[in-house]
Amino acid sequence: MIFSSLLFLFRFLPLVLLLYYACPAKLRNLVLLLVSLVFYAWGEPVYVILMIVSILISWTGGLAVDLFLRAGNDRAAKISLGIAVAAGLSLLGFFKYADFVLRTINQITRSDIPLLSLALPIGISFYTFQTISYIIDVYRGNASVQKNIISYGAYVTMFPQLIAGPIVQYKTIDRQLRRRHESSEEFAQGVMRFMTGLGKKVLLANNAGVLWDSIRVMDTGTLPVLTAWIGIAAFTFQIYFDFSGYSDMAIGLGHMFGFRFLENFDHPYLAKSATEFWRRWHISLGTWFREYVYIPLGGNRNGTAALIRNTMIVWLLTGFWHGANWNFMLWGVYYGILLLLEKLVFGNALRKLPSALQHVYCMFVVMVGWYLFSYNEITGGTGYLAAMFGGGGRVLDHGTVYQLYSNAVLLIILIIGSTHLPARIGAAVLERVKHSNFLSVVLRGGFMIMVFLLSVAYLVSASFNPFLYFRF
Amino acid sequence: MNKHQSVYVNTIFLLLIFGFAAANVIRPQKERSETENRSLQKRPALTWDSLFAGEFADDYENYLSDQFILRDSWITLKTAAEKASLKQETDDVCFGKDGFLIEKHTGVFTSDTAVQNILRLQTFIGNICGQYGAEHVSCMIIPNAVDILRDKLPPYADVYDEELYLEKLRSVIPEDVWVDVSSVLRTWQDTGSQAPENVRAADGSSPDFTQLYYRTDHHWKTAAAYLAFQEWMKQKQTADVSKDEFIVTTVTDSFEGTISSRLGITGKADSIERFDRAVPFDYYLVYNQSEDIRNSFYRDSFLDTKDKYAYFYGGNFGLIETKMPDAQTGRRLLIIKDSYAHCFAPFTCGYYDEVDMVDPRYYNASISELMENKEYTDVLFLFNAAGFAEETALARLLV
Repeated sequence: MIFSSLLFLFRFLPLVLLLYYACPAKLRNLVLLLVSLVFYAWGEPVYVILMIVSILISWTGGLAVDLFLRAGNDRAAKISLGIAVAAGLSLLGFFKYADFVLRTINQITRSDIPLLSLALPIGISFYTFQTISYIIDVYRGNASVQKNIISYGAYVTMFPQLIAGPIVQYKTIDRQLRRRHESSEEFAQGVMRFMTGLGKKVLLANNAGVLWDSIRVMDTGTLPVLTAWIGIAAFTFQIYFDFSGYSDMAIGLGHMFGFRFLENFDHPYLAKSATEFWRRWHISLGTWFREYVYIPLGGNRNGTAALIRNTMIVWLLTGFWHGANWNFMLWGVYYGILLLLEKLVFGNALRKLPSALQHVYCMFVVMVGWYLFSYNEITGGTGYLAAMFGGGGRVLDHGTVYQLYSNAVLLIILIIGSTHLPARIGAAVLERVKHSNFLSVVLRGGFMIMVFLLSVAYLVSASFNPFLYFRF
Repeated sequence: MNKHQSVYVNTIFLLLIFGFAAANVIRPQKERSETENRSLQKRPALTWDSLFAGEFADDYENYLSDQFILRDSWITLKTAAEKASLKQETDDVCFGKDGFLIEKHTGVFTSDTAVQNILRLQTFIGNICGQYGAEHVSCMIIPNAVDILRDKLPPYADVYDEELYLEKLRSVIPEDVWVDVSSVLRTWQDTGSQAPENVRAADGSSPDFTQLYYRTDHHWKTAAAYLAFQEWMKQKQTADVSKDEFIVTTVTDSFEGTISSRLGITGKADSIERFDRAVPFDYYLVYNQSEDIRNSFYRDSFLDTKDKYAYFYGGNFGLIETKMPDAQTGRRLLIIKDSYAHCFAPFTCGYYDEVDMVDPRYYNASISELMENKEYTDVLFLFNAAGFAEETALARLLV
């Protein structure tokens, strides 16, 4: 189930809110666990069992690690940790990467091992990372063990963040799982955040997606440069509003149930370098890799060679995490190299450039990155990349002019929407009227009703409502 | 946000989601949508099998969207939002000049089916040319509005897929079999305006021949069909049509077709014309081999419904035989067609002893058997280009 659907808005969410708030505080984690299982099982009736297995393994692992640590047996704790992490990674590896490995073996050895053709269990990359972070944090003493399987299950399955993150680390919501105060203010904050996310996803991302889809099917042999860039720009906006809109909805829903998830995006397209971009994009993933891979490997403390090695490992894994495809690896390596170059070679020179040029540089590398990212879908293969750099033999044609003026308003909204501006203006206006209950409510209510009505209109009539991060 | 304000914000939110949820539960389900001209998904039954196959989930989500309260108004709102953002098109339909809603058919002509259908048609035409002789076989692929009404498209909205596709088709069909309707209509769109001299309105005035396609529907107008008919008769030397008089009657001027319905907007309404021979001839129609016998091509009752194009023949049927008992031409025509033929076929009936229309999409028996059993002298293949390109039922022509 996805949030931006009639099913979620008009069946699931109302029922869950009723159930949740009708139950006493003691039972609320149980309610969350049960409804989250239904949420997951709606689209994945079989794989819900896999998720339950994964929960049981990591929960038991956490208990064992804690037990051995208390007994002062660090070796046994380490072994327990290793087993639980390895089990989680094996499940992820098997269901996500088995066919990729087989295909690669087939290609290299020219053999013909039949593929398993397993459907990817939705959200497995996200929930596996959450369970791993939990066990490691218990071992490190950064999180306290959760003995209650219901509370732990509620943490892993919690439907707001289940299928597309943010990757919530257990330690950040441990206290809220044990005891939280739902309040009217927090609920309202969640409502506004959810509506913002819904609008970003349904009104902005989907419309950008329509533009991208219309361009990516064009014949790349004659695709003008400008059209190719409009296309990749549309994808750049689609993936941002899609994913950050989803995170907004997740964070908003979290608030409705009294949880505070950490932010996952911070205006990534305002960045001035690839390094900065990754501090602002999918923050929970970057944090995860830094805490559980990069720093344990030694980070940047052991000299340049180790820095290069560690960075490349992290970025290979980051790419691979996104999907069992070579293009994702390539995309990861691309960023690994860029980040190293910025750190070791031209970072200082870059910072001395006028800030507009730094933005141009950053958006250029990010958009080329998104081309690599979408590569497994582009039928033209390298043709599209060639078209971006003049392979189509033309700078623009009638079609380019048409795409530009027909989508001018959309593109302007997308550009402005990627900046601080809307949030700042919204905050400034609300600050001015905060003493007037009437105006505050009218402004918020007006925004909510407008986004709601338009989104429902698009959802009722549109067939086009993909969700990009569903695949990971 | 203080507590007081938050209570109001929450109330608005809860009213919205609970209100619409409740309204949708209470409201009775509809069988079909008249505006969209299709049946709607009803609440699916829950079974273990459907649940685990994921079917229940899909059907249930379709049910929610199909049965959503005020469905038509939501669609209208979406189109209005698209227009307000100055988009020149929505849902692959261009907002053209003079109220024309023009389908772009993006991707239709480059799909696998489209490519396969070229081969299918080539093989099929080859087969029947062997049977009937090329001089008795004709192929008309009618271009869609997007290919002809270029001057009505938004500026710079160039769409060439259809033209290229028709060129490809033309290159595989023998020259005397292919009727070049595209050239006829394009030339007419660019230069023509006056109705031919043998065509007049009932009051003697000259009928409108400037509009070749409906503004709000995906079909061509009867005037365009007449031009194609005239060209075809000339090419095949069947008859000199210009010697026969036709009288044009406008049967309605409040036709809003499928495209405006799909977008949920009220466009500029269209008129529907019928052309009658000044010298009438006797005929009767047999639907689906004697299931229903009628004595008119036209059904007035459909003029009161949304689906006014069904005025011609009452819509889609597998097989409609038209017999002209008094005609003694010795010619019997089979038209293999889609709905573009509905305003076209009445023209042909004055020139044959029998005209049968078979629609591969609805005719379940074998078309080759039909051709064996009935002694046709001529065969005409008539489809609209986009419909032809995406029609999977054409595989049945070759079995």
